[in-house]
Amino acid sequence: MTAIRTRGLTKTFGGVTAVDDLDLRVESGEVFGFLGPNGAGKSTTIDLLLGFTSPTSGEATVLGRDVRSAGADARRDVGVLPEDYAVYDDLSAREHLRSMIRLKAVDDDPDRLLETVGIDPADRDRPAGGFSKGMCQRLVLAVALAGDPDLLILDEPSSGLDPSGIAEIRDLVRAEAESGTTVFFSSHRLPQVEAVCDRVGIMDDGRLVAVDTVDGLRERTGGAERLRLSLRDPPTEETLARLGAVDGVVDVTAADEDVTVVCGEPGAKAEAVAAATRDAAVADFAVETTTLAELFERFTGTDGDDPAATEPDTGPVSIGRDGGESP
Amino acid sequence: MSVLDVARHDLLAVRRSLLLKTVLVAVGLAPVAGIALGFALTDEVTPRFLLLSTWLVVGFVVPFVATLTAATAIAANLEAGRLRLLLSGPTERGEALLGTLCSRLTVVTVPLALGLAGFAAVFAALPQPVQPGRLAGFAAFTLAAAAAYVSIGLAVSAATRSQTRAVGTALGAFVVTLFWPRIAGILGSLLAGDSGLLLSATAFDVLGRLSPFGAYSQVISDPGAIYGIEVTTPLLGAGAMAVVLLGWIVGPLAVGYRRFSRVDL
Repeated sequence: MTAIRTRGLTKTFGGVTAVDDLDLRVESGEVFGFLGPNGAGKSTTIDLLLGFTSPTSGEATVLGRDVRSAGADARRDVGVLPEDYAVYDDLSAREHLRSMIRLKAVDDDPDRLLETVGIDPADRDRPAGGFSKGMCQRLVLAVALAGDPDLLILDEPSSGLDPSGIAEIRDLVRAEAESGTTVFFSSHRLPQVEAVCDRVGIMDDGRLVAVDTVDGLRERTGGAERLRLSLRDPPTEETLARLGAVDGVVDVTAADEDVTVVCGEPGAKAEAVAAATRDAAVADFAVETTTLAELFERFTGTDGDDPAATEPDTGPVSIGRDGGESP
Repeated sequence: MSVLDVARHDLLAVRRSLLLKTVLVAVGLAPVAGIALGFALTDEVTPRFLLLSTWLVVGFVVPFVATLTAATAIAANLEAGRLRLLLSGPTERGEALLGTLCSRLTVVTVPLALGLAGFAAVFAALPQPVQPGRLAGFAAFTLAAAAAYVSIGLAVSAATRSQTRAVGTALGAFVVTLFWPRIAGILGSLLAGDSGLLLSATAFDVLGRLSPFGAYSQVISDPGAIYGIEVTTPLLGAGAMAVVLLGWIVGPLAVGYRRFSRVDL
């Protein structure tokens, strides 16, 4: 079954085309990462899927329901973490959950949900108006998870979270995907996307410029992997020519003793190492995979406006779950 | 069911707010304050005078507070982003609007009803009897006027993207409706001198009662008193005024929904 389907989906604001003729299909059970620089049209696409804004033309279905004609019914089995939301200042986290569970007409336990997203019991009964951005993200994520939805649509879920929070979200997305939930999320955090997504779609200037698995994108851009050889001495022309003649090698470059061999096929790496050792002494070697950040850059011509795009996804940082997050 | 769930949600969200406390005090005390004003203004208090003094206070305070209570409802949530959270679930926009209407009506009419009960108790204790029907009519039309102004405020709120603009527009609408009977009267006087126009004075009287405040005052205020004119046609009677108020409850909501259903969140 198709979880999300758009055909010719277009949205213009005045003379600006935010989403341009978008054809997208997200299958049930997959984790789909939606990437693109700021202003690429990601959030507008999500708003169109949620009925927050109406398309200028084209159509979109969510879990088989047309988002225009089905109205709110299209969101019945969908959990949403939208962008630019606000919580109710005077309601506690528990009250938010109780009320939203009632509005979603589902049966769930607010405490279980708050536990899942990591909101401490001590914080559950205080007004959400005093929550940090990270805690609000956790709270709204708990709302999204209420009722065990078939589809999760998460717009920048790691926004405002500290590294440990980001790692928790990643684990949560994995767990939801393992339980059969389809996850569609936009993010600037490319390592996070790479870590959890089955497929990614890259938006640029309102258009979908690529949709594939991360490995598929690597193959499409040529040079799936780079073999870095450190030789004892600078390579000879003969060595470089021999490396270039190996089947599956796309490119060979050298700088002093360091040689970079771009391999289009996985089997080419071992042959390249063997070819190098015929007339050169190899001191060390390493294999580098093209990162999603590099692929993103190739498809969009930008590394994104958010520095987080190229930051390591997470590290052994131990910051207080709530107190350490940016307000 | 979802309409009631939205109403409950909105009540939950505003229950600790300053807005609610202000409304409870202002609207709940307005009828009693009107009676107190009557006693303060004269030593020879009559039920008719007390009804007029109560109308003076209630007729201004209740529409004003009702308008403001509703004007902040949708626009503030839209501007802040809370509507994106509310409407991310299976709640229709129409349900959100009607639920909010129910909530804000509750906020305004429950304390008002309690205040009117106190007002009735005072009248019951007066040595001069008052017809129960007169008091019931006063209460019913006051509640209807409150509902009309809640509807106007909510319609403005639903059609506006910013809280500040919603409050400003709603207050502007409130002022126009407040002075509309007078404006229509002035218009009638000016045009009466124009020999080319043959509209009767009654037509301008009816025109002046087409605002919710004009309709409410026509029923509550005595003929000859402020905004009260003698009923010379059924179009100036209580039935017609009830229809006018009903129109002001339903009409603005319909317009507000039309705008709200199309707005980008």
